[in-house]
Amino acid sequence: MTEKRIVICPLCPYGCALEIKGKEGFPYQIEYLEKSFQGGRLCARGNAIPLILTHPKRCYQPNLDGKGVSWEKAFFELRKILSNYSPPSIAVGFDSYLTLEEKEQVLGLAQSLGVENQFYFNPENICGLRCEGVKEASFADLVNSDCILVIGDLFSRFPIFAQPILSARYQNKEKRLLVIDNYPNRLFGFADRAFLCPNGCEANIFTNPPQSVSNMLNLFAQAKRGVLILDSPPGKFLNPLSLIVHSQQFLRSCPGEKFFLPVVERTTGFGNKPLGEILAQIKSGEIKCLLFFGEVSIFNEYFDLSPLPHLIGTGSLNFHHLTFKQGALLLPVPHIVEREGSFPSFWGKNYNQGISSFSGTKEIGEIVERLAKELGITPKKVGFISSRILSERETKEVLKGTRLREVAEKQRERDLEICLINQEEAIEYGGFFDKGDRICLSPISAQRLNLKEGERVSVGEEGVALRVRIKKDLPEGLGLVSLANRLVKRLMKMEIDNQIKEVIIRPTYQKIWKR
Amino acid sequence: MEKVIIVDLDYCIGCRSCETACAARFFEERRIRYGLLSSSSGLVEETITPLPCRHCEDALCLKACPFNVIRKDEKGVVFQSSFECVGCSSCILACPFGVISGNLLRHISQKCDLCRDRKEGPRCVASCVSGALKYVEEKEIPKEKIGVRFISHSPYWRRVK
Repeated sequence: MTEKRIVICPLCPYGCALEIKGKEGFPYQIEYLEKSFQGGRLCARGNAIPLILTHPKRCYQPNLDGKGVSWEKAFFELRKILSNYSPPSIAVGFDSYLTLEEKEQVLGLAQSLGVENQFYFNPENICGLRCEGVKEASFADLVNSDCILVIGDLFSRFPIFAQPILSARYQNKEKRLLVIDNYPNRLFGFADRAFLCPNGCEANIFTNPPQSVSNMLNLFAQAKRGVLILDSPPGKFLNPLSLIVHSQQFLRSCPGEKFFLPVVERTTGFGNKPLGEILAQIKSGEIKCLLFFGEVSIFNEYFDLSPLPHLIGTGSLNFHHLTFKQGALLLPVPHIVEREGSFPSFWGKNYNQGISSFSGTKEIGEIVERLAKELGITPKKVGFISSRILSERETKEVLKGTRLREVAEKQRERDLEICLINQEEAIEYGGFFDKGDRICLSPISAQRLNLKEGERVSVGEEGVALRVRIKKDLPEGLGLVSLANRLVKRLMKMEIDNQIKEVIIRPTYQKIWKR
Repeated sequence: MEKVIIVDLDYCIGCRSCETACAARFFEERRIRYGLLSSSSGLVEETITPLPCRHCEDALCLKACPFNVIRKDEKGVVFQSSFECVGCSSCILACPFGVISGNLLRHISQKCDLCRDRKEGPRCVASCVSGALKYVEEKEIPKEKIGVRFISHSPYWRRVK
């Protein structure tokens, strides 16, 4: 019997509708819905859904230490592992491959267990932050705007945006498409004006713009209706929070109707510990058991979890070489496309009815309920924060670089070392378009270390060679380096600070000496 | 031919959604091929653009097929029966546009049949995210404005890999 089900593609926040045909629970084909919001169009990711759902690596049986076991055995092991550890040595995490309801259930379970180590593995959610007074763009604003300014490679990550943007552009020659990115992306060819900026310097285009960028920003400011699209995956831009705040600050200063469209997930406020801290605790042995909901094999691929005695995760795909080591328990769940629940999208919250999934899998909600029953606890009900608006004080802090000054103050206590920070944080100090092989120091620091302008120095244990550049307005004890330089990057530590919702490059104290 | 696939290069962003749509339906066969173009001006610019089958009036692949596996229907669609194909590659060699490719796993050639099993038309066209692929009547082709909307850069720029 052929089954047809309309689903909202949960693989990106655009929320395309499509029809999936299946036979006896085996999805085999998709149909394009021309009357849907996106007119039946579907990107390569959406088109690949049948390939993912019928992937040979689909997991259909719980897996303990690389061997298939029954669900009963899996729950027995799960209870045994969890009852062996106290709450401080357990961490509960999840990723974006969960519906909103499932995220709430998982958080409820963590709270009932008394586990403080909760984290959300989706660095993009920090980009959902808004400044006060900034209007969010709707689909109509995107089509009716006179000028669209895109920062980032929109067409690669979200090709579904191509049709509305290009149609609007070609229909009216007065419309403008402006693009800024650190490499010539697909959009460059379609843009009226494009600017290629050095990696990690995107935030600086609003504070210290070169002439060509100034002209672009003026063009955008003069338009009656404009949309600023920000595609800022962390890792590509080194300080996304700074870029988000500066772009919104620029929008607030523009006359006319201006809208903001960050193409990232619109949820914030999950978890209570940054991922960096959890990973550090795993490394130090404080956390001994990680309970991860989502696609554990993807999570496992990113981070070294070898010091962890017990990894318990859910997943729809089954990659032996990464997931199944000693002490690992994998619980098969339906793929996110098959699950029933709500998903956030750019244009609101979507509800998916779900489709019949592979036999042998259990829904995350079912697993949570069964686990709670086994452990004799009642999962708490928790809500989530759908969006967060940055207060004026927080905005000013980012703009002024308050944290940078705090770092500089602390540095005075240390004499022999120089505190290295990413140039980008030091927005007010400028110098972003410097080459990556320089270290900027204050005149006092240079004198203290007996260094002169242009001299070559070695920095840190790895002895990274850089040229000294003296900057008068820098505080003492602070060194500005560029993360465009790969060797410098090795000296820095990257973490996710969940309190301020920011991917940050931690300042590091490094010795420098004349080469 | 009643209807043909045309590619509006002004809209094509090289996302390869059409290729995935084809692969998802035809069990990882890629019946729509991609061309890699590079600029002759010496600039390092490359572009990928879809190369759908033309369904030629005088189809050389059809003539080259030694087992009459490639045939033409009443609408002018040149199609191939995958079950009968022996994978001799004659059609691949004969195609003057290079749009037929071989499937190494199944030992057959992959030939576009304009999704004859789908009433609404080819899947690659339905899924095209930017609207670059169009399925139009042959008579309507001159009415379509194709490749005339260049803004400022060379045409290659717009489809950087």
